Amino acid sequence: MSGSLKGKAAIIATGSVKPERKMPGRSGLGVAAEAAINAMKDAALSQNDIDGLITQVTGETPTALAEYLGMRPTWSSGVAMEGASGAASVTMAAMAINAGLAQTVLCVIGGLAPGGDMATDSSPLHRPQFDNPFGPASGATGYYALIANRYKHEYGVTDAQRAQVAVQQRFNAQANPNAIFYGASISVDDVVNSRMISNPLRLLECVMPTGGAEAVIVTSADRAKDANNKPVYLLGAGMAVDRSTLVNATSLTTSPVAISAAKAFDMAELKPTDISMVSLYDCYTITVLISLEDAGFVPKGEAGAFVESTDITYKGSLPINTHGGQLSYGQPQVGGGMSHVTESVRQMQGLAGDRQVENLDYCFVNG
Amino acid sequence: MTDEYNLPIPTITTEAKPFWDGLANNELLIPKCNDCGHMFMYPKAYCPNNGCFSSNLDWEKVSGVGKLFSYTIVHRAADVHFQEIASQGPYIFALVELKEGPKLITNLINADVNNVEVGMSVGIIFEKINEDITLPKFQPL
Repeated sequence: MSGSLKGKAAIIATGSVKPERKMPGRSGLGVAAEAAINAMKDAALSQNDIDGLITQVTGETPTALAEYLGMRPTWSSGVAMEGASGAASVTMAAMAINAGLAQTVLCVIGGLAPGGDMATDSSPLHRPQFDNPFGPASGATGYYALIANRYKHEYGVTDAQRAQVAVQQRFNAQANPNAIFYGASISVDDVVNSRMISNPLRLLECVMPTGGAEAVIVTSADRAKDANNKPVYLLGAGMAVDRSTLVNATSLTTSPVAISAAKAFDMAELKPTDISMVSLYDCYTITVLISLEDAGFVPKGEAGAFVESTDITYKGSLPINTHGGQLSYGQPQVGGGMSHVTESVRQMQGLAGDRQVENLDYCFVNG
Repeated sequence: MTDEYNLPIPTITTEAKPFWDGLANNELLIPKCNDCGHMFMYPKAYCPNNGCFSSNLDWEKVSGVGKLFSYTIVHRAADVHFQEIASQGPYIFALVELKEGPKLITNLINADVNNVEVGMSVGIIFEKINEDITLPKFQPL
């Protein structure tokens, strides 16, 4: 396939900052820099070995992070694809490398925990005008609740089925000391009896906003051969943008993942049954169910029954969000989406510790 | 009520001002393309219909009836004053699909929270906040 990125670039290092609710005395740039430095140490590279930088640090610019890190990259870009920014940044890095514009690209995303409520503090323009007068729930919960109730109407899903996502991911987090909910197991009863936020979504189905940052280093396939870590090759990538608001969503129950995943599988010349492990963006439980279907792992409308009858933990037949997902690891701003990338790379490198999945061939990540 | 209204008021943008002016006159006006007939939300300067590109747009007075596309009963609101309301009794945040096609974020009011169904027929209620602002809310038909 001409123009394919298949096998052209590889991730050779990861860096994370343990998510925390409060990070007193720290700056967003400082937290992002810590993730970046962790990744450079992981790769045994220094600033001068890296010529590309892709970043999103809340309220900051790529140039500000470059300066903070003492880097002078010759190719750089911001990435602003909301929760998909992590996966998108890896695709962009591979594009820059494939085009000969950069050789080794650092991707870093994160920041401090939101100081206020995102519905009032950092809203896209439409929200203060068309949504806030009607009292949306805190965070993005009201919007995903609209999605969840529409899904329930079209396909049917029980509260206990959605709860399985939270419970099994929490199980995974018990093997991840960096997870914000490490040491705090939950049951289906805990989830379905937790405080209602915006019907049908309850507290334990909602992501925990934190500070933190996640980083990876991407380099060309040629250079990856000399990396000090096992390279994890990008075999396929796809993007799709459907809407900014639900008012213009093509569907509430089929997400743009249906398009982006198909493009990624097509480029990789793989199919869902080839995949050993899945890392799906999980701001809310319902998001995982819809993405699992749209990516092709489960027929439409059957994800609720699937997660109820399947072990989706790191020990199971289709491991999902082995780091705990953002629901249990924490959501370090848009760096939460990047945590799916860093976890998947560590799993593929065999560096996932107690939660290591055995016999991994291929991994699927979305944002 | 006008003096005591402490909930968020829309921050009106230039392109959307006729929408709010219409509501102040108890009319629901939706942008419509004079060239291709496409109706859309939110208000914008160009028709978003594929390949149309027209700036020859007008405001169409619509019926104000539609279906409840989805809804959620809010127990924990983002806004502090909405939270005061929610703590008295949850309210309904809704997505309504107008008969003419476009959708609106709104509240479903005058409805029993235990008896709300996706797909139910709804009609507009003009809720006057002050001289400039009237909010488009909906109730079961």
